[in-house]
Amino acid sequence: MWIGTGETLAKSVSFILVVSTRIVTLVAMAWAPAAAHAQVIPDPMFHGQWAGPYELAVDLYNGTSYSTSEIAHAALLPPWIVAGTPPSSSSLTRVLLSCAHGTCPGDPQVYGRSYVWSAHRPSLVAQINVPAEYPQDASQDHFCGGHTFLEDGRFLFSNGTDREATCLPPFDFVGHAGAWVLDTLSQTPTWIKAYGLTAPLARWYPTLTLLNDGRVMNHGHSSLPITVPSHAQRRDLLTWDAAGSPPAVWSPTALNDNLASQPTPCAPVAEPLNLFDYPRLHLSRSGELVWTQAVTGGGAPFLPIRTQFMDVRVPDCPPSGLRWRPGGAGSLPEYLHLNGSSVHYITWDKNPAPLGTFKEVIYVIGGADIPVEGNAEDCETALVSDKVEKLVLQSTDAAATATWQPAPALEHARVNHNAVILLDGRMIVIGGVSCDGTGFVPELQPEIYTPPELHDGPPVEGVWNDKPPQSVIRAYHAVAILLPDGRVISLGGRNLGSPLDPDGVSDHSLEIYSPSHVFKPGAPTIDPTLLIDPATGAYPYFEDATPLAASMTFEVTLAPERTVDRVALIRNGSATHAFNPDQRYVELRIIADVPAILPNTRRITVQTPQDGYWAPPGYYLLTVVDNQDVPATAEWIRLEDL
Amino acid sequence: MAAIKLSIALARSLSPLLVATSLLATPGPAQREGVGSAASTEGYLLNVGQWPGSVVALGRQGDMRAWVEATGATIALSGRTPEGEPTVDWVRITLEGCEASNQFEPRDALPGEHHFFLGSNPRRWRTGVRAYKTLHAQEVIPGVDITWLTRDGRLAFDFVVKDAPNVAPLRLRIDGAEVLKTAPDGALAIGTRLGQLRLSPLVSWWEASDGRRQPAECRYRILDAGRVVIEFPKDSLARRLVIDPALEWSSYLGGAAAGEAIERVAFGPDGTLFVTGESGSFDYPVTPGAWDTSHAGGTLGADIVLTKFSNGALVFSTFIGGGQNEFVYGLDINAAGEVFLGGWTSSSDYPTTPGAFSTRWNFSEGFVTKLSASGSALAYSTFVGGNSNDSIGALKHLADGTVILSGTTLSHDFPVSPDAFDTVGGSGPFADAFVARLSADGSRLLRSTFLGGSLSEGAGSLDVTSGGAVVVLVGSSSADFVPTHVLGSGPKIVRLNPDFTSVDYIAQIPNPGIAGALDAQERFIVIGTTSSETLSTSAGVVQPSFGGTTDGFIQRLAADGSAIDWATYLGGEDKDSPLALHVSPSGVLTVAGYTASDAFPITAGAFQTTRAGSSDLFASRLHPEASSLWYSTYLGGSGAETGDGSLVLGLAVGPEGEAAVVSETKSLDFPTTSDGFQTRFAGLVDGTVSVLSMLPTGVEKLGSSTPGCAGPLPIGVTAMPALGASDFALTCAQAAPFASGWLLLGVSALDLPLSVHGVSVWIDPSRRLVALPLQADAAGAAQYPLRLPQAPFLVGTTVFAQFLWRDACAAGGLAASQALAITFQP
Repeated sequence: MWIGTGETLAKSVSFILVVSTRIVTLVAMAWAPAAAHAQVIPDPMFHGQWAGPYELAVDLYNGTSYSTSEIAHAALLPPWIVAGTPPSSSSLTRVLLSCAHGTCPGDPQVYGRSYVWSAHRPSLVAQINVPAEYPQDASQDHFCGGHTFLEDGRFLFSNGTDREATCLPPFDFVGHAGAWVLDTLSQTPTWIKAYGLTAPLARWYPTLTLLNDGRVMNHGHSSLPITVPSHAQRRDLLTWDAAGSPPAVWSPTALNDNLASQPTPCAPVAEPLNLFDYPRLHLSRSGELVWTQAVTGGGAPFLPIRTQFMDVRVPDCPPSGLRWRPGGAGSLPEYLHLNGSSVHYITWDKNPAPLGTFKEVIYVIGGADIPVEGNAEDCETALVSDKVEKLVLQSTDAAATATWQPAPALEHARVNHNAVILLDGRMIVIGGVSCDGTGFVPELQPEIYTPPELHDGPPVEGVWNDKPPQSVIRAYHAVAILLPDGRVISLGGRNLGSPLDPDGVSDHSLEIYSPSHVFKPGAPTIDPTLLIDPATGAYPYFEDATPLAASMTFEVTLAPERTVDRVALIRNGSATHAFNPDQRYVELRIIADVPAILPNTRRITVQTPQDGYWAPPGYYLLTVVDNQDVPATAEWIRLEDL
Repeated sequence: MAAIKLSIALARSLSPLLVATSLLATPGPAQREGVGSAASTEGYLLNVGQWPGSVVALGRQGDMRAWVEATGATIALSGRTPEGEPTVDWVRITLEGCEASNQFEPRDALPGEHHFFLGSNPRRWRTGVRAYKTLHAQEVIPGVDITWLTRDGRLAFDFVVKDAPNVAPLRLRIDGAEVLKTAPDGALAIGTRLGQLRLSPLVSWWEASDGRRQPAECRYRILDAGRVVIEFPKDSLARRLVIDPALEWSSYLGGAAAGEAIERVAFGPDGTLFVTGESGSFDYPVTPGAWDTSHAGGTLGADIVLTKFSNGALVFSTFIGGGQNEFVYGLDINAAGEVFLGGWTSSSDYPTTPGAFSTRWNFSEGFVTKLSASGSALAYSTFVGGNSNDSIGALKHLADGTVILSGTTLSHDFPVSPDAFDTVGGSGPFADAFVARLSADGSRLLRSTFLGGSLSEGAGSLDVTSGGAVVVLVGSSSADFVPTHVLGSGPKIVRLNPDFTSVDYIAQIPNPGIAGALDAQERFIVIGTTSSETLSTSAGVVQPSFGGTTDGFIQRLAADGSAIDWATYLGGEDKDSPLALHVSPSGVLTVAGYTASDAFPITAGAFQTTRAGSSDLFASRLHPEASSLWYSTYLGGSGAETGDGSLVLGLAVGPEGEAAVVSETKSLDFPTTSDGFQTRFAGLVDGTVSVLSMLPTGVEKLGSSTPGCAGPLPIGVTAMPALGASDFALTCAQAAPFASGWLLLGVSALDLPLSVHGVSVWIDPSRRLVALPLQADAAGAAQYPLRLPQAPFLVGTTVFAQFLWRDACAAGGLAASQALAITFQP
């Protein structure tokens, strides 16, 4: 219900107060003009279009009162497929929303909950069943855990905050040791308890990384139980993470064995390195885990240290411990990019024939020089940046050869935004805030950038282009992920604070952005008939198989006069805290592009990725982009490490 | 076998001295620009009667002509007089003491032919005249060879002084010079009316023990107005330490327009080398008269290329392809030198021949193409497949001319024999493997069977037993493609009976496999890549423990498929990936692949002992039981070889045990030999062709083998001949099973062999000679350990070895290996 026009709070943006049944939220109304009544409706064929917001019923009612939750995690689930029924990408699009924020015993609180959202019913969510053995007891919620998809499509969620400890002195967040697996492939996803870490290794703000062979590595900020000094004190020690928070490794065998085995804690290493909270980790095709700084880290003394690399091409923890080593050819990124976002590309250039050339880059986007989280006071000294830098990786020994290069700056400096790879390979930056020295300034306009690596030939840097603003301010904890049809959902997080509540309030709404390509006529369509059904079979890696067995063949219908420009896999994302550890763009080498029987239809054969370092095993969205840069709605496929 | 005590003497110092110079004409002040320029040469055009008989060949360099003669050369310089009139001047350079009867051997034919239609009498016409990169003559004067070549785009000549202490300084007679003088830079300046002809400063060196060059001081000294002497030292400081280079021949192969990937290599029956792969370059080197000299392009721009070399010279080179894209995975050569290619094409216009098994194209097809021995015609060419995607993964021709194929098909109507072992193809999008036998004329599939279950299968390497059974490596994900022997969860090795109606075994092996081959006992050896450090290996193998990251893994399946005989890792701390395997008749394993490890297992005295780039190739030779590493080397430049998602590599082993490795490179400094077909990187990604002797520092081949029933007898060693080495042994193979024979050991070699019962003996029997009796094993192989004494004074001393065997096929009842010169290393 609209009740009035608010005061203009920032340049070129005006606001309207909107009142829902439970909370009051500031909502942006216009894209560019300051005058709300002069609203401009951009052409969606060029700028895309927003839908929503859709209010989601994620607050819980315990019979007497509501308990406010905050959506902080979202993950695109692989398809649930009914045996014998052809999969349909649009009808099966499901997203896990996890939102919880416990309070202390005695409060009218129901602990953290997770939900499934379906694309065909955008305003509804279904709570995920919690079986009797669900570990969501008084000591845990899902807040600030880490997650990744496993090789079989299930979803591993690990750690988070220990609510009970939080309620005891020193009243700080304390990490949890638990882990859970969501059985995503069933019609009704269910949480199953998995073995987590041993208690001393409990942690919060971890980053889980799926490795080439299905193992999962856990890095994050350890948080010992309440018998040790407070979390805040510990994380101020620069060497603390290295000495006390070695990575832990789950093996897929253990996870498949009724999740009965504990992950292996690797031996600690001695380097004085702090990965901080939600470290931004990307697995390079050379087999090295690349640390491009962290999302955040509270009040830790961040220093401009060199980019770190960890060789993870070992089956288990080596006797000497997993070690980080500085790399990046001696160069430093110019900015820290704290609370910034990052995306990972492996692209293929057809030249030189016959095999072409692959490139690998990680873009690190925006962020600040100190952590800027949900506290408005963080803005008093933070310098929020519009800078974008990219780390160019070589195919072998990335640590020694990687180099940092500047990329075009954002139009709007921001933190706590989400960078999402679109189906056509472009990247969109959504949400976040900047700082004006006193408090948050909302950044409602998304921006889209076309990485030059997408196209063949010498790189030609473009610029970021503003897109229509979304309606809801999405600051700390907000998330955004790609859907198979090319749309992007942006949801949750903290709304902009007010003088009464400078840290903002939790938002429960979801918006859907349809990029420009959704509105362009003549989008290619993939006929998945020749593709292996991901529910029953998977593609082997090129290195493991004979050439034809390591290829994917499908037919694509194109608009007249158009051709196929590129084929890519985009891993289904799972985002939290401005970072999506699963998101990855892997272009595939086209090895045949021939006419099929029907008019304007081509039969395309592409080579699977070389190995699990290029594309960790599991589910991916397969998409085709024509020479007008229009992508097809993606189809699900699965890669398997034989 | 007990080690023997050697009785040896010092060999005489044989260090060759190489003296090199180039010709450069510098225009005089009156000359116009361009006259006498150092434009790139066109090689040496052989004289086959079109010029006077004293002329061996004509070398051209811009406006300069070098008429090479048996005793020297006449250099003709074109230009203009100060008045601007065209004129020619000449300088004749003669090596004093040289005989006019010297015979030159042309090497490295250049593409193209030249025709001389002289006069109206066709009998004087000369057609098809070839130009060559080099001309070589031995012993033009005692102890001195001469080679005419091109260097840096200029005509040049090298002297090889093989026995410097006993060779007098070289004297050059210069006729036609107005003035002679030595330039400050050491060059010899020959003044003419048309400017200056310079012999560049002498570059000379001794061969060092590890293949590096040890500079030697040489200089021109002018004796009088028409004579110059080249002075050189009489001996190097070090005694002779070696030898033939371990890299026998190596070349880039590619055009500048796009990239190349050389996928496969094979030796012809006469030792010629065939390589095939894909090229996107319209300027890939092809030869006139070849089957297809123009690139057909395609959306990805890749055609198949097939190139044949003989002694490093291009014999023929051709494109094969249609308007789309081709990949080639199978290469085989029959006894007549005809070529079989198999692979995959997405070109509807891929060339097929009338009457072939299938000329119907369905999206993308497997193909088998047979080319004539001259590379100028298709004997047949056929698609192999059904209504969907099909690919040939490997092929092997049989003695009756038929061809066994393995591959992968998505075509559910792929033609199979009604009584085949498996007549049901894959379902839906799941591929099946297949094995088929194509008739000798390419017109029929004689036998064919699917191999697979309800999920995906694909077939790669195949081999054929002496009884005709086919063993094939099948990547498999179908649980209902049920193995007869479950040894692990890796790929399945299938042994089919000769008519494909039943299987002898389906063995599921423990670990990944990418290629495999049979040994003489019909045991299938598989190579693959693993990241697991916990694989089961066998006691006594060369590497029982995981090296790190990813390692190669080699395992041998028992002949009945029931067990893994042995398994070993092969790798260093980083990523290692074997991609090709050769198993000799005696079971010796040769493996090639790529590595990013600094600690990849490399043997002492190998050609390249340190990694040069982000990824290098490797070539390794192992004992038949994988119990020791006989030889292992890196091969690469400062850039990357293969990898990057392409995994391009081929391997073949030649009749004398040499290993040919082909791949692709982005290195500007990939190791090439000076006589390589293409010694410079052409651009983007180039193919590579390299022939390694697989012999370490201190070991050199001499002479040639006297073949027996199984052909030439390769001789080799198991380690570098370092003093005190306990693992050094001499090896020989291809003898008759259980044959008796001798190992000859001597202290001096012969320049020309002695013929003894039809066998060429290369060891001088007039010096100290020992003949040690021995017997070959069931595979016709022998290994003779030699304990090398720990006596420092022996460093640099050379002994010679050669195997002789009783052999019923040899004319005189004896066969023999080559000889080896073995020089003791510190």
